[in-house]
Amino acid sequence: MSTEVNSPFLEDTKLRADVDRSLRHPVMFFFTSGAAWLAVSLVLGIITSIKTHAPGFLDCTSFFNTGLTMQAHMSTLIYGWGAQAAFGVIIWLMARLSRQESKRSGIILVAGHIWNAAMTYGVIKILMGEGSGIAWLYFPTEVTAVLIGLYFFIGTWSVIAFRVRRGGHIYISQWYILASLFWFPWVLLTGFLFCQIYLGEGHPMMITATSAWFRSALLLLFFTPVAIASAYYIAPKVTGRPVYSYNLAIFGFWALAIVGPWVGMQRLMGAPIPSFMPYLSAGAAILLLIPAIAVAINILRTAKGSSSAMAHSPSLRFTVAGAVGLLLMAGIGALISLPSVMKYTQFSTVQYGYELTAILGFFSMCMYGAIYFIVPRVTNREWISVGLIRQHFWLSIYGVLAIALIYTITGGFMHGDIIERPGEVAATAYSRLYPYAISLTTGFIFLLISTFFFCVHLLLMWLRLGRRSSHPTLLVRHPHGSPHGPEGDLDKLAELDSNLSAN
Amino acid sequence: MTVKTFFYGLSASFAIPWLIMVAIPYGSMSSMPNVEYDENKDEKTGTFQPLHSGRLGIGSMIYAQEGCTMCHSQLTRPTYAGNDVFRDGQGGFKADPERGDTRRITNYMDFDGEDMANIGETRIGPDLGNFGSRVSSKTVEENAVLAKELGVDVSELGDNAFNGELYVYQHLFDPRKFIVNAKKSNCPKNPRFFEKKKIYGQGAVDAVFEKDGYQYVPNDRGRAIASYLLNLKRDGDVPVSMIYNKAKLLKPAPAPKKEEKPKEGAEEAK
Repeated sequence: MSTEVNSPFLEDTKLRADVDRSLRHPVMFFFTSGAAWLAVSLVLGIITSIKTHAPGFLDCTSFFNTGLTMQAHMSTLIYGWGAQAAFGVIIWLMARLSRQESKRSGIILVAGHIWNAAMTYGVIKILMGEGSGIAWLYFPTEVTAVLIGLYFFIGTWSVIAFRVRRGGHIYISQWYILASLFWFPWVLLTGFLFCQIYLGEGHPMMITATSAWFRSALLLLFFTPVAIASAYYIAPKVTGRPVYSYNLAIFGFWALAIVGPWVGMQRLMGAPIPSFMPYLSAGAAILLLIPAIAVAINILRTAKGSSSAMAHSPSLRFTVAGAVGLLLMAGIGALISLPSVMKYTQFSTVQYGYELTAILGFFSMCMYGAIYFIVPRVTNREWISVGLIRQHFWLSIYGVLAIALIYTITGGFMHGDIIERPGEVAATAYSRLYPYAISLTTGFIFLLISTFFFCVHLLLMWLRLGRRSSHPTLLVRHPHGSPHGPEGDLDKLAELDSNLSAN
Repeated sequence: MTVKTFFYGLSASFAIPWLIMVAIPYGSMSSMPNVEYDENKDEKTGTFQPLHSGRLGIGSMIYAQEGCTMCHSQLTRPTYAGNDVFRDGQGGFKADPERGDTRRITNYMDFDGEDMANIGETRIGPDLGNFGSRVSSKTVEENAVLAKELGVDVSELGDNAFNGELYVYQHLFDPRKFIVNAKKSNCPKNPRFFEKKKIYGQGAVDAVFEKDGYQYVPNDRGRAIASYLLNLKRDGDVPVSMIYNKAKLLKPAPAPKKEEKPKEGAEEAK
């Protein structure tokens, strides 16, 4: 009798374990190499930032000139960390929610290796001064072409998994992932074709305008939906409660889909392009507050009341931090897009700070949340050190706060104010920026320390050196023993599997 | 929500802004019409033909590849979007000794000959949209001062005359070493724009630095970007139809008399 009641549950447990096992190597590869690229990106960011307040730093060669390290820093952040972390989450989440094992893990893994090789080549070319020079498409044309091609070898299987999914219900996370899989190639192809392949064909101003649209679209229509999909999965899973409002989730999705593609051109306010474009984009950037608030409320309300889960679970902590990061990102985005404020912010450092806040404060936080949830499942091991997780969380928070609040908001507006005064020379603006550039360096150093240990932790987990325990690694010790009961061993799962097979 | 309605909605919500913000403007701006002078307003007829010279295409590409856009803008915005036109030397000069008020906003013809418009990311450094004009202005100023010191006419300065091109090369080679008052500059050195050559005879005239029988002379890449920078001259007369604030600019200030005190120079020229 007992076997009959538990069979569907056990079958589902086995299915989930099979899905996890099938994706172990591609997922761990994307997460680990992504974290390594994040460390590289932060090192390049530190070099760039130091050179802002100490221009003589590493100036024995042109290889580390500010303009070059900045391009390499953003490229590694976007395509090295961002894209790979997103790929890892997409393929795992879609396979899990569709209850489909991956049958093409080898292809995904090979594509991942080529992606990293192409990126390495691209970064070297950028540092040699042979990149494209186009914002967020800094790699040479051939590298962008390879990355687009590889995307189809990585993303296609998730679309197929959705098509042949088991079960009727489609989760909100799946909608977001599907949308990101749809938007990403369209956005990337637009940037690639209009800004790289047809470079010289279009009007120079429209090349620049398209690249401004591209970077915004990549942020809002790829990184944002993947991060939201992850948050909508993690928050209910960890708290054990359904999403606070499904209708609000659907509303937030469509608000993002309708408003997001209009944003980007506000960065060309006053430039010789049709004047409706920057104004439409500025309006859309302000309207982005709507989906951001809808999503953040939904995530935070889902997590509300689960203070013990918040205290214990690193996944939930990072996810909630990501939801706050989403509000911060949308708030800064709306503020700097107000036409009356644009004159101060259009050429101030606040634009760079906004992108950092979006990627490091929102997207990365959600990705960390997903990674802390996914990795123990695909490796069948628990995280080794609660101390490393705790330092990762707090150093990330300190780093993001230094960047978002001090460098972006305070520094960006101080810089914007001085460059808008006609009588002031560039040296004055540079002097004004000095303390905020130091805060950026400090923020990056916090993040680099946390990322280094995160990367090592991930690598050890991939080598399956994690704890062999059925207990998750929690941030807070329970005063009355573990909330999961007495310590168990993962080998029991194998016994369970064999019993099920025998039955 | 079914999968079909999801994809219809997703396609429509993306395709419409994509067409309106990207595809259609991209196509329509790829062939912009010529601008004709209006006889009543411009007091002349014919087609406006902006003058561009120098190695714009390759120079602009190198400028972008080297990431100069990270710190330098090239955009003089209309007054509704910023105070750029009021910064002397950015959109032109308020009182150019030869041409009077040359200030104007950036227009879509200013980037002719370039693959992309390097309008820039931030203004950590000065705007370079009129860098060439500022160097020209500095050349006139420096020569006037030197001629006065030597007690000769400017035309008699010969090799002593200020060399604007060399000034740019020196800035590119090491902005904190050569350029007076630029000690605080955080512009990077660019040794990759130069090659080390043994000195034969009198050596190269455009060498920026000499040491131990060798000199550093600009290579092709360095010459191209210097040519591009020296030709960034986006000021002066445009048809009235291209002027944003017509009420203010319809009657440009008359050119000052020759003996008037020279205007103050550009910020990085100081």
